[in-house]
Amino acid sequence: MSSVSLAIMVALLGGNPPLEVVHSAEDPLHVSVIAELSTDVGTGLPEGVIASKTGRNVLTFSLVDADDKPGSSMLGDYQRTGSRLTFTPRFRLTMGATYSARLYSTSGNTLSVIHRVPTSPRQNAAEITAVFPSADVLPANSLKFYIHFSRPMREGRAIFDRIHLLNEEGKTVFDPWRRTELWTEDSRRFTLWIHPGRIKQGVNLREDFGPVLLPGRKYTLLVKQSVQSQNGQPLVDAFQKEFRTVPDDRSRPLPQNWKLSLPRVGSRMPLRVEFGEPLDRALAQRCIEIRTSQGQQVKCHMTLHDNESVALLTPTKQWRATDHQLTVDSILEDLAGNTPVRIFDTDLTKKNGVHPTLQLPFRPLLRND
Amino acid sequence: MMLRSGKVLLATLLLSIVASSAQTAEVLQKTVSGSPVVKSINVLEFAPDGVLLIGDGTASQILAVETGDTTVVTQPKANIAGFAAILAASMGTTAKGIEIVDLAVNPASGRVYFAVRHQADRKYAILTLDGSGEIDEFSLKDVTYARLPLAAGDKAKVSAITDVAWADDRIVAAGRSNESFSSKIFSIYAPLSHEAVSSSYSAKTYHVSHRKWETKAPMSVVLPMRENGKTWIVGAFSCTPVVKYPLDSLKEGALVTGTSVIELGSGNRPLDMLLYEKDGKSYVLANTFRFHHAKRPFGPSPYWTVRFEQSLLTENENVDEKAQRRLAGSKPATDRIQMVEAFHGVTQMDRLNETHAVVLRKTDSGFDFEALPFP
Repeated sequence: MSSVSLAIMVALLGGNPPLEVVHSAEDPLHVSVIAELSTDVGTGLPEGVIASKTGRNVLTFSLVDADDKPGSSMLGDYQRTGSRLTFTPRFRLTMGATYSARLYSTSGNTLSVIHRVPTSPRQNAAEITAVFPSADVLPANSLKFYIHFSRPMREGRAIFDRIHLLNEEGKTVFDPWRRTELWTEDSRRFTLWIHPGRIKQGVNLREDFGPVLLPGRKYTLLVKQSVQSQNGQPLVDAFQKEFRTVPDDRSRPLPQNWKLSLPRVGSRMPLRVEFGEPLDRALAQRCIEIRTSQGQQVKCHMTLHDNESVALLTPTKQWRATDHQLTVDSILEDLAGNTPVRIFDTDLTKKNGVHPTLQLPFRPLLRND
Repeated sequence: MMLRSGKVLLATLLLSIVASSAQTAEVLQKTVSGSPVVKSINVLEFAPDGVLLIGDGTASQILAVETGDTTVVTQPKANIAGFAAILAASMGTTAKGIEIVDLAVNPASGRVYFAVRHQADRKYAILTLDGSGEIDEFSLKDVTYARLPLAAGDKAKVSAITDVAWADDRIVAAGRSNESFSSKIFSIYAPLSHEAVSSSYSAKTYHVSHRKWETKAPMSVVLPMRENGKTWIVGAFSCTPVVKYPLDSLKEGALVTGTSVIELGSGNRPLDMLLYEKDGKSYVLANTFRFHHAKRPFGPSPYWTVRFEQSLLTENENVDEKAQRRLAGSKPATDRIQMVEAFHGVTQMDRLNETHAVVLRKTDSGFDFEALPFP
């Protein structure tokens, strides 16, 4: 902690111990409340860590509400070191909020300090860096979007009311989303699902309300500016992705239909894999690997191109003149949630047709091939 | 509130605790001491002996933590209006600055635990409420715990845990991915050991509403149930079939086939389920979220609750495509499944004791905490 004090000292009694709120030099939301103990304040408090219930009898730190009333004390840790009692709130403070530190004496007097947190600087607002699928032509049974943000975002169901699908007339498609929040660990990628109940054939939701997307139409995915970053700020700007739809994709992405362009032995040229259709970006990056015929993984860097319909797998070491396999995990999906082993809304009582090939053998080309 | 006197409730609570203690198996075996790293909290649940189970989807783990909270506390206050704001104040923010992720009652003490996310810094806290109305934090600093990693067994990464339950001699959990629309069921045998490997299963379920067998639907709620000396896992899906799986069928890597026994109606997502008895009959209470409430409401709130006779779950003949439906058209198909108006607006609930549930009810201004008698 730095000793920068934002405290306004309000001494109600002469000679009362001082009370101040200090914040870290790096983070104005991370504070400590420090009180000097005396014969009238905190008598009998043990040295070291103090139970919260005991500490709260002497020192509290509370959010002040709109009526200027301090609420119940924040949770945090109390520690006595000599004549100092320090309270460290468990949570960072809120930008723009006002807090009250209060120190209680045994004689019934209270010393209070008001602490105002500055408002958030606007330059910390987030923006959308990418939306996948990146294609502007999508099957009408598309299952999901991945929305990437430049900063960690605020989790919570409010986001579903701040992202809309607009039809050709600019009207909002009614309640299109599966309202289940699924973020990455860093809260920068949001998986937005079109409600599967309106995609699966025969499901009452689809029969009652119709599919979210109809083939042969134009739509706009609209992310409103009111989507909040973790610190509660709106986006720099709203975001729009326009796309048109084609008929439902109810076929499996079968690796045996992919086209491989082989690299040369001794080079670090990428293996080029053409899927013939865009695939789910996140799953493609995790579900496709290269192994030797002995099963050893060949370390590669994979990039996706042409609206996620082409992968370039660049090895970290030169290709060897040996048999390789492109291996595909069965959970890989296309844009409609179809996998190599099953169609998204398949009837499992029916036979599934062609057996998928999940290992594609290849051998890098010799120089004179 | 229709609460009985505190003394009677406390006596009831004590009786239920004694009964549950008699069935207690050893919960923890190999533990470590320290401060476990929690990346998220999706769900809270209790194993016997006050062992708190924390479902952390981001870290693909369940933490089993000794709370030491095994002394009975007094009944929580009947109704605390503006409860979200009260919890938020303890975290230094307003009700909009937090999200109450889950609640669970510790059956060993009667204390209520809340998993709360502080929105501005995405930190999670476990807060507790006792009968005096005092809110405190259950800190994960320097605790005794076992970390139980969840491995999906394929490239599917678990990113959220939808429910965790204690079933006889093991933990059963349901998890889902943020990349594929599917669910996995996990099972971890007790006594629980730190870093014990979980087993994972895919569930095959007959979805009554669209006449298809399918694995591609995430299970939302898991409820263990005893029937004729056998334990079943009752699961609820988003469409909303209620399905049961024999616990014995959960074998490593297996594709577990469930039997659909009830269809609560399409367009709903189940949130919580609990078992209770009243007047000699056993019931299941389930609260759900209704999609498209704005166009086709079931009540004043998108959050609505239903109770059904547990005996419906023991059906062996009228299952799957013939499963009992709640509605025939827009009217009730049977009086064995009833909507519970007193629970309208309930977003989260858990069993408090033999007579009451504790709930969070969504109101126009936020969330209230209430103890409601079983219907």
